[in-house]
Amino acid sequence: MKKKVKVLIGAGAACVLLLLASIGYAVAFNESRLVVPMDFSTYEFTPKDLPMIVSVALLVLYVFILIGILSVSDRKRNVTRKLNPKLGFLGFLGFLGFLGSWTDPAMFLRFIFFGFFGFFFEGRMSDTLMDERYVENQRRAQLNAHRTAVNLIFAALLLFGSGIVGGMKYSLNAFVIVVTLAIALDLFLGEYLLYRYDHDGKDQEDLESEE
Amino acid sequence: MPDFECRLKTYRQLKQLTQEELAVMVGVRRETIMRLEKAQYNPSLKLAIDISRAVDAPIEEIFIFQ
Repeated sequence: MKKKVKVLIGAGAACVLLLLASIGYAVAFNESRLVVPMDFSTYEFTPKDLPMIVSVALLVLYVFILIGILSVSDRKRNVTRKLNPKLGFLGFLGFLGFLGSWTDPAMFLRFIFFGFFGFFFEGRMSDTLMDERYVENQRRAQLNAHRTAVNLIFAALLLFGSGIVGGMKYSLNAFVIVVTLAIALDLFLGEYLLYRYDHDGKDQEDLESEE
Repeated sequence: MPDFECRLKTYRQLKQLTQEELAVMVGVRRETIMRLEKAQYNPSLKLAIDISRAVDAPIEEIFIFQ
């Protein structure tokens, strides 16, 4: 097991070193292409770009493999994944969605980050044994979260589809906002409800003696 | 809330098991055993059988449905 961890760390270090070497090569011999911001609409492949492309691809592949291995090992142990509740603060990124405007609706998609507030509750349930009561609560929580989100999207569809809001452009933008918020709500509610179902009456339980 | 009476606590104490020990034996969390003892959770058939074997008592004497 320890050997496997060493191999993983070694592979990660090798990927990072390869990326640093590629950056050094690109800066020294390739006019910093793919290192400094560039206009990709006029991008044309040159063989000198290969080290940078390969090293970035390897790093991305490594991250995916690492995530896969971690999730499989948690599943084997039948426990929830380890997560720091402080990651819930990433939910504040959702406020970036307010930077959107009717002319630049892409920014509204950032409302989806509100869903990251769910990490707070997922973190508090991290490394928990997933017994049958946990699985039952999880299904109930996800069902209620999905139902709420779908109802919200359906209501928005009826409202904006009827053309009450205004022109097509405004209706579409408003629909994008509602759908994004509904997905964020779904992500958040799934974790929040699971935590509530699992912990309802917990304070009372803690006070009781085990005997 | 499930409509049944649960006598798990009595049988568990007879076997001199703690909730934690019983939970480990049947592969659930201590909180689940706690809920079971308060008849706040309706167990699956498999869990009920596992518990019955762990405390050496028939299922119908541990979980009494009205």
